[in-house]
Amino acid sequence: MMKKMNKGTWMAICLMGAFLILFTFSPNALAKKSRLSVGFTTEEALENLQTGEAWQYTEMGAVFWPLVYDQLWIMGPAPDYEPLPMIVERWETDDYLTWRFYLVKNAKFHDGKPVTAEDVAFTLWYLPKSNPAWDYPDNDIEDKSSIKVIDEHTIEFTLAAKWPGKYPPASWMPVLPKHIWMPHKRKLVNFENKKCIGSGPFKLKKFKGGEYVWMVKNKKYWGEVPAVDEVVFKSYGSQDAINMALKKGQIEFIGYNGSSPLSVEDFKKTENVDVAISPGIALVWLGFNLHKENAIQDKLVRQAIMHGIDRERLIQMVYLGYAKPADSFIYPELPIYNPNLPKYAYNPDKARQMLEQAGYLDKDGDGIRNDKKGGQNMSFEFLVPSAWPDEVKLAKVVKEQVKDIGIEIKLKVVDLDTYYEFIYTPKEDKFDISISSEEPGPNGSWIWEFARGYNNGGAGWNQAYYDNPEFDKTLDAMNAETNLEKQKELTFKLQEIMAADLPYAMLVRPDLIGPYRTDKFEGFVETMGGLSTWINVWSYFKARPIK
Amino acid sequence: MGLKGFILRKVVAACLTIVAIVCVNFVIFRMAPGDPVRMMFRDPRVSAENLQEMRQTFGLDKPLSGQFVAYVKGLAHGNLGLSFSHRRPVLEVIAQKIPATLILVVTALMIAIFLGVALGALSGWKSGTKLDTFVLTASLTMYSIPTFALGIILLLVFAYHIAIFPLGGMATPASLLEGPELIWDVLWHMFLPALSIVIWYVGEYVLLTRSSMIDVMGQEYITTAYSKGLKKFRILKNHALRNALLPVVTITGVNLGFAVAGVIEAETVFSWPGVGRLVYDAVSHRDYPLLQGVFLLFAFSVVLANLVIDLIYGYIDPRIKVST
Repeated sequence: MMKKMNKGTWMAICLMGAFLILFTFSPNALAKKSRLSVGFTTEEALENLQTGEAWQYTEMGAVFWPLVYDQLWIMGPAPDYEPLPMIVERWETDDYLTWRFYLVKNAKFHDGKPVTAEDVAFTLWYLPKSNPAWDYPDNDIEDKSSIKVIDEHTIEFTLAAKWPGKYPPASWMPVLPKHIWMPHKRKLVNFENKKCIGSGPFKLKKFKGGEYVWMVKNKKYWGEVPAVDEVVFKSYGSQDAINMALKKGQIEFIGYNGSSPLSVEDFKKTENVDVAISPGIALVWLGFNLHKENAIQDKLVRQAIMHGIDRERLIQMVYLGYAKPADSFIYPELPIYNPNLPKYAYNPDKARQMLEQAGYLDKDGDGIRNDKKGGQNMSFEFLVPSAWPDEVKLAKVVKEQVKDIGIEIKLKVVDLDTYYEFIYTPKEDKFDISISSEEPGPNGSWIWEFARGYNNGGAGWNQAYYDNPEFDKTLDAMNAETNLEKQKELTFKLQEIMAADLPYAMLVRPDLIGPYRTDKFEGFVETMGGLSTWINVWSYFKARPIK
Repeated sequence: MGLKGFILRKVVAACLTIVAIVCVNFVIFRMAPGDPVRMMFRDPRVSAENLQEMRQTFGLDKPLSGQFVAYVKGLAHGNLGLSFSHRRPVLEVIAQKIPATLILVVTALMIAIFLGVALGALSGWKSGTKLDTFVLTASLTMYSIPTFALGIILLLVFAYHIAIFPLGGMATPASLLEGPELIWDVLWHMFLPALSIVIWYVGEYVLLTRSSMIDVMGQEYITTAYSKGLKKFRILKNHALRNALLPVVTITGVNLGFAVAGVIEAETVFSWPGVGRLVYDAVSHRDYPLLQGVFLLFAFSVVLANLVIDLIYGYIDPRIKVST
């Protein structure tokens, strides 16, 4: 009897063990891992893991690498956007030229090797010199001897020019493991980087170019370990497919750029979905080509065009009300925003009057004014990239509006790469006006380089071919000013000069429509630009499963 | 001319076509506006040295004639060059994407041919009946729906509302599926994109087979077959359909080639990771080597398919050999 009972007990134990094993390794058990899935369009997706422009300029790349690689410091969340130490404990500088960063002592790369000052020195020297470069004014170091490894966890470097202000230098730059990248130092961009070894809070598990990126949390992360077990970036064939995926619960939110204003009401009606309407990070403006010999070179014409554009109507027609008028490169919520800039209110009568008084008359009665110099029609080519559907619509509305003041616009819609090539070569006169959009972010002092004169080292970004020595002088002074109050005054002045001269005419700041699921995760972080941008990866760090 | 001469003539013609395509391929992409090297840099502050280095890396520092010679030499060695945007050999980039496209295209086309020929033959055979009217109307409708719109409709109905198929991709993202499970997963993902291609092509095949069938049905040898007392199905199979298939075979040859190039829309809507998407990206990045490689592949598949069709045509229709 006893023997039989023992046998039964053993069988029961074995059965329970088998169930336990089955349960542990069954798909259901695996599914218990919290997976944060995020949607991107295939156009935004990463095709490979190589560094360089794919990390800087593709939407998925710009959000991917800050999860896998640590940075020296990171932009904090809204509303203050404070610079927060990431892989360093602190930093210091006496003159804003030489900077010393103290690394945390327990940081390790995903392969177990420690993160040291040598890795930072390697990155600081070689990454900005890769081709295409990872080159910003705040990581400009002229010679290698300006980078000093003080000890294993302390690095000091001297910049080519002072970097005063709220934010330290070497922003938004991954710390690359020297032991892996060293053999590829001359061609960093060509290194396939299949394992993607970083020291960040997430590790790469699997990558399929153009399809998905699968990351798992770095359980041995030296800092705060993320609450979600996995993050998956999925790519979809269209915005419609992303919207459907979100409604079906296949993704938690949209990885970049959010959704269309048209979808807001639909999402609001969807169960377990909420919509974050965040102030945009992108600014949209008109760029005037001041190199080309025509009436656009006349400041008064540019000002009249601005009075001829009804921005409120633009916002209603193109963005269905989900945008704000813009008047500066600086966002209004930042303390360095100058609130007293000319607003160029919509006033077509005033615009017409300005043009009449300046001698731009319709001499041949065809409804289009004639240039007072050559007598030709004031007809301008307006360059727009086909990849930006909202801006194409915007250009069409602008075209109709300025027609009322006697100016003809001819749209020139080209693909995105051609567009970039054209706008950055204003001397080739391939456009008169362009639509432009950038995401300066809170640490956006680099955006002023868009207006630095060609005679003052300003080639490249200056798509307007703007040349104003007073502006350049103020810009240099602002860049060198270490007193924050004085620096703010100089920034105010830059905004005033630009608003008066209008090499760039600010139009709108589109809101970011960010639908997100509310049933599985909480703790998403909203900043300008929404839940996920190049300045905001906090949603991935802070999201946690709802219990 | 004997069979050997016939084959030789067709092969030589195909080779000449390929040579012409290689030349056109080289010139046509270079006529597009924009400097491909400048387009490699989104940051406009690129230095002249970096631009020059990039030109040298991709052989764009040479004059056009030098580039052409290098291109042809490379081709002779099976080297399609280095992709501007992927920074990897073109052959490697294409080889990575072509299996996905082939699986989709071949499967969809085979189903479309089978269904289209069967329905077209039936419709032609039953010409003038309600069945014929129905098949004809349905085929015209299917043939005229744009692939892109059809794709979105299929997604909306089957992947969103009924939710029995995925919203895109070739396999479930971030899964560790292997073996039969993976095959099943790929088939599940392939259903909708393949269906969108099938719907489009089946209409074409129905219309073609039907009209050819009606032609054949009016021929005297069909009347003779009837008068001999042969069974209807035998007349359909052995006399009518075999002759009606000639134009279908021709169009299949053309379609095989075009289908590889023509799935761009289906691949885009369903985010199917094939060559179609690659073409789209290569065009926007002015990636000459990749474009040359992909278009050469397209052209080669069209020429090869036509060559095969020409050769088997001689087998199907002995009159062709005689006339040559």
